[in-house]
Amino acid sequence: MVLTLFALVIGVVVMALTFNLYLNFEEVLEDKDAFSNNYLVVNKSVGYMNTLHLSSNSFNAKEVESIKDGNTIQNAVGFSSNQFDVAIRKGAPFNLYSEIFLEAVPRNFVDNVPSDFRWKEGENEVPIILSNELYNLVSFGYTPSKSGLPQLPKSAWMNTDFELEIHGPKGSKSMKTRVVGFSDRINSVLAPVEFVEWANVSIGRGKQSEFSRVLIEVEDASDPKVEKYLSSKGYQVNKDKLLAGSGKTKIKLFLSILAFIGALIVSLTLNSLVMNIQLLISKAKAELKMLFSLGYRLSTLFSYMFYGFIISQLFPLIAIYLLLPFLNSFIEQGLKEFMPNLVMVIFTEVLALPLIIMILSVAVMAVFLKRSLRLSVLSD
Amino acid sequence: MSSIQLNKVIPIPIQDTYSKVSDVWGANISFESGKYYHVCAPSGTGKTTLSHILYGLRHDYNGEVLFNNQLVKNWKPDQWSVCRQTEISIIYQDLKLLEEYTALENIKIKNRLTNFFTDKEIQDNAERIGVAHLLNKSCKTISRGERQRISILRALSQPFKFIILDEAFSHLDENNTRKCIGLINDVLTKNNASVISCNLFEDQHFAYHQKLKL
Repeated sequence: MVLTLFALVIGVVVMALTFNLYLNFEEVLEDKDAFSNNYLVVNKSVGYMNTLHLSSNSFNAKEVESIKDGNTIQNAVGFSSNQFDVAIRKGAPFNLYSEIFLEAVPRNFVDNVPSDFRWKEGENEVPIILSNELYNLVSFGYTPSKSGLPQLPKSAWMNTDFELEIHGPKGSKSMKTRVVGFSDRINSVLAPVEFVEWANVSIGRGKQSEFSRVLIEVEDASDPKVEKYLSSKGYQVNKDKLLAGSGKTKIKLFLSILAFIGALIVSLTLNSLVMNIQLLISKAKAELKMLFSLGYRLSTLFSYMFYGFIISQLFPLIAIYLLLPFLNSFIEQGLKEFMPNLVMVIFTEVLALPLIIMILSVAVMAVFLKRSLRLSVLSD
Repeated sequence: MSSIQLNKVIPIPIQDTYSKVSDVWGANISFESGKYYHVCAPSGTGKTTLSHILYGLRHDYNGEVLFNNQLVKNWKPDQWSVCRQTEISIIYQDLKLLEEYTALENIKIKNRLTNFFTDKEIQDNAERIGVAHLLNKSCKTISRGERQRISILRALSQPFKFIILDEAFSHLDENNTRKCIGLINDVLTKNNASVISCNLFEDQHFAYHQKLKL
């Protein structure tokens, strides 16, 4: 009995700690940011053949469509890019002049877009979204290397109107532009797709027929089938996301196995407790029958035995609640080696779990106890 | 409870062998509260079976048993429990004491259900039948005759309208039997209760109103 209760403590503690680990890392594991998990940017690799224009490293419309055909990939869209020259200019404090590029994808492929990221023909101001990567490059790479250039916060970028100069075979145009947002997701300079398409036709070399990069929507970027499928076609993809994905899969698998082992121990101990009850009743059968024949009600006999059982369950419950914070901080210390800023809290759901398991186990025991008591007392 | 009625009751295990001249098996008889009954039966004719049927421990019989004109065959366990707490008591032939417990504990296990006797009354009753000095001894260590008296004390520690005696004095000498009968008679009078005494031989233990043969 003592060993069984000890095993019950271990099983419940393993389950609770696994659950707590999962909850603590849920944000990382489940990646609430739908885009980063479900969208990948795909390109063809650049080789000397491309440089010599012997083969193309862009996707034509048919190729974009054919990516979609794979059953792991739900949607694909080419990045529209500028078919004209673009530069931005700004006086002090930026003192900036730079040729840039613009890319565009349909709005529904970008989530959390600011509402002012829109453009209609005739408007002079073009909103753009910069990637955080680019912002960091400029702030921490480019700016310090140029004497006199100040480092500017994102808000300063967003409150500044830049001049946007576009130039192509069909003419030039000077417009204004403003940064309306920063993106972690698409590593590019994004302009509204309406603007890029208009400028390609009106200023640039005409409607774009090939796309250098394709944005794909997948069910789960960590699914190894995605990478397999893409590399079989000779396409390159940002491996970080795939690797992060496969790491997550491994951690999730590990946690699932732990939870399974915990659940297995708990169910085995419950089974053993049921057998204990049956043993107890068969040992006390003669006494129980006698008490019943003296006029004791079955319910009275049941409650005598059941209270004893509840009390015996209180000890493991107390042990579990004493162990949990201790083991949690132990795990936290262990993980701090890799994640110095880690703070592992014990979630309320985790605290509720042992209580729920114990209540369930007591309920199961009650049913078995009642049944075997009745069978044993009323048997001839 | 004022009456127990048996209508053509025949225990299934002895349905082929029971005596056809039995006053009980296969007959219609009734036990009335306040009257004393003697059931005389050679061994093997179903004395204990009768006791157990009346006390609700056995249900393997044909015919009907009625308590206050109510069929008891399909009673729920709780109905029997209530009946055994307040209406009917039994002194078993095989005593059925909890051997691991003391004599007093055995009595109190029964008395606790209704708090029929105070501790003092239990002590007085024990003194009356000469077992007061045994109350704190384990039932394992006392003689059969002493145990029989403890089991009599236990059976009396509740209110009842009927008490079944299944060879209740089989291990007692004449003197001790008389003492026990005196005590039982007092309780019977106090409760206005009835006794159904089953014995191997005819006896004069109580002022029987009716004698029956099994």
